[in-house]
Amino acid sequence: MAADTPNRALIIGAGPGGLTAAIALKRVGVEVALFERAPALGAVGGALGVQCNALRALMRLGLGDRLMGAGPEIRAQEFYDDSGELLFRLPQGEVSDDFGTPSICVLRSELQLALVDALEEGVLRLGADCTAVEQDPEGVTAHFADGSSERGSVLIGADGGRSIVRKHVYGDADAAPKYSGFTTWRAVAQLNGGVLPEDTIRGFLGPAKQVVMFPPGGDRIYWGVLNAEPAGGHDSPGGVHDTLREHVSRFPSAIQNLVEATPEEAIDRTDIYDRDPEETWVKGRVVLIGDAAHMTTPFIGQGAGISMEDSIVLAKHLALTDGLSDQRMLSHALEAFERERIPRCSKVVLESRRRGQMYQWTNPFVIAGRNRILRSLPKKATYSMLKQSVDYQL
Amino acid sequence: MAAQTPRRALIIGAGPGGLTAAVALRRVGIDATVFERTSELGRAPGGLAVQSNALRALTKLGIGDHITRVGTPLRSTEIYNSRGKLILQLPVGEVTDARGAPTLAVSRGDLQIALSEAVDNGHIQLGSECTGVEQDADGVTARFADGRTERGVLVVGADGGRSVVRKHVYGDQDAPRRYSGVTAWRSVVTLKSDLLPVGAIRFYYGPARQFTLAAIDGQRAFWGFVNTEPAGGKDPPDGVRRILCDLLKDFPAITREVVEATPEDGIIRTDVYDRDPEKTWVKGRVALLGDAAHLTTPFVGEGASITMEDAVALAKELSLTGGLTDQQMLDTALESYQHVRQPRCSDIVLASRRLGRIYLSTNPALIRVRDAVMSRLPVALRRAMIERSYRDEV
Repeated sequence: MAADTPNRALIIGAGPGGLTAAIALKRVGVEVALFERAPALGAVGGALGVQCNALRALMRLGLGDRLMGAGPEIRAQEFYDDSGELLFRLPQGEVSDDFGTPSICVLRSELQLALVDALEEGVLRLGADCTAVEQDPEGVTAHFADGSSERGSVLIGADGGRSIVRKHVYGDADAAPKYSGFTTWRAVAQLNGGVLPEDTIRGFLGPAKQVVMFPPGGDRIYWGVLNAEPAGGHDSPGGVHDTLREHVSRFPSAIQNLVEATPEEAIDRTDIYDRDPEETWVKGRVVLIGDAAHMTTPFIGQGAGISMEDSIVLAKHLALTDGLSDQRMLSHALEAFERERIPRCSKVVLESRRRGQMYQWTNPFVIAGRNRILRSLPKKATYSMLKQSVDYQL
Repeated sequence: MAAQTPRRALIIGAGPGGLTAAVALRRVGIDATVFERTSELGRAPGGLAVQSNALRALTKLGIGDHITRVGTPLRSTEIYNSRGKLILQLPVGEVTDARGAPTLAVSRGDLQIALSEAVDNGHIQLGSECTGVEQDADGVTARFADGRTERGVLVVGADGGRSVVRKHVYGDQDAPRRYSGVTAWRSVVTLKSDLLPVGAIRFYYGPARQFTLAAIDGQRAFWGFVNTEPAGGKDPPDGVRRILCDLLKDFPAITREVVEATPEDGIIRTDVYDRDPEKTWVKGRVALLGDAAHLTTPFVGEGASITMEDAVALAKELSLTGGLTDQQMLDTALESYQHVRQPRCSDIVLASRRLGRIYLSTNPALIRVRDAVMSRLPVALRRAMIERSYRDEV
């Protein structure tokens, strides 16, 4: 059946995946409309590692140089125990060099800005809160909270872990997200002063606790404190520092100082979830990408990266269709897309989940054993630990 | 500054790969023209199987049905020993039904015509024999035997095993082709009666030689015969059929009947070569595909099919360049093309080389074991044999 809007893609969600999809689809000749719930840009907090595979995805769109100017290159991920003794070091620099593309650290807002800059005028509509999706043989309709609706020939759900579009794809059969066991507090602190080298991400592993520090450049540190506790907890206003003080009390003083120096209003608390891998991300003219399709924990730092990879692969498959009108050609393209991506993304989700579980252990003997093993990891092992998660060349 | 180089791709060669590349590149918004040495389409000799994997690739371009019209779906592959005893039957139909795309028996000439019909008018230039390629920072120039030159930003070398474009990529470093030890004769024959069941491709294996036969439709069949002998041999004028029938004297009568029914001047003789897999098929603005990149022997029957896959894969990667506008994006696209295709094509080349050794063996003990094993293969393994060459599709 032919669509009534022959070549128009509706993309829900302007995160890294949705923005990349909008640029890539436009590039391959698809008319694009991107809808974002937030009323303004730049409100996203935190930072992330754009590892070599993800930067490669952006290079395919000609955005590599722009991004490389937005944050420092990361040459290592170092993991310490809570007393500050080095456990192991992932050779990010060597892995990136062999891959042929650097890995960098950027503020989420910088990544968003770079991607938004590459969009054409009029593609992005802010304050558009998608509430429901419907489809029929001729097309797909997105309904928004303000009562408006939009019609397209394909709809891409890039609306994150709590995706509305996902409800349309799986209906009531959808399984609930899985709580990882970790709650996290995160913030960007405006100081560095030698606490963290500009080319290194550091993690500190304590019993059922973890602290991470990223260097997004410009003397800033992005830090996160993870604590194993039941989901759904809250901090009382003014009490965040009390909670965190307790969580970081056994970690090196630099970390304690970093947390103390960060104002409470800059600190964001979230429960970390993921989902079991799905067998399909497609229903008719609707396809999910990114966290909406394969929500993952952050323990191997690939969540945003695989979302951007999704977008590039999707665009390549849609490029071959003669417009998006023909349902059969569209189905072939979407099927081929998910066949290519599900194995890759499932692997990342499960690897990240395993890593997270390993960091939750509380038994001191088990931890001592784990740390002994981590300390004695040969270089080849740390290299391949990292290599396997970036090993996807677009 | 000189006039701007036209943002177009010059495709050298109108074989299955070159023509598919023209359809696919034009589909993703790239201006592409094919330059073909011969002055008439449809005269390519012999026949071939368009394997299910290739037909799926063509279906993604929306021309699957169009190509299916010129071929006959194959339901089974039948392998006989030279005395005419069926030793192995592969359930091709069952496997391809599940994949939604059959494997087709076609004549090369019909396939060439059908593919050319899918290329927009005026974008195939016949009688254009490429004699060399030169590139500079702004573009690439193809020279032709009639003194003409054409300018573009990309050259796709789809000019077969004796590729001229290949010389530009490897220069004097190019390794010589590797003689497979066999010479091939092939043709398409019109049969008076229904000598052959439609829907089966038959292979007759005798020591040191092999005969292939498949009905294309109710009247026509393609056949091929390979014989172990030194390279460089010539047939006497008007004596080919006699020589072939002599070589086939121990084979089932049908093989000789088919040869006798073929006009002398319709039989083409070629020495069969392949090449060791290359690490790269790309130099700057010049990319190779098909036999020009990975010349293979015919024993897996995937030669033309992986060539058409190459073409679709190339178009997918180039789609992200937005019409070949940016050099850096073109570089990364070509790099990805070869990265995606190299393992797949090397695998086929080496598998075909191995199979050739087994099929054409003269060692009686090996032949006995081979035939005993083949005649006892369980169905699951026979299915797996077919599926193996269909996987990893574009």
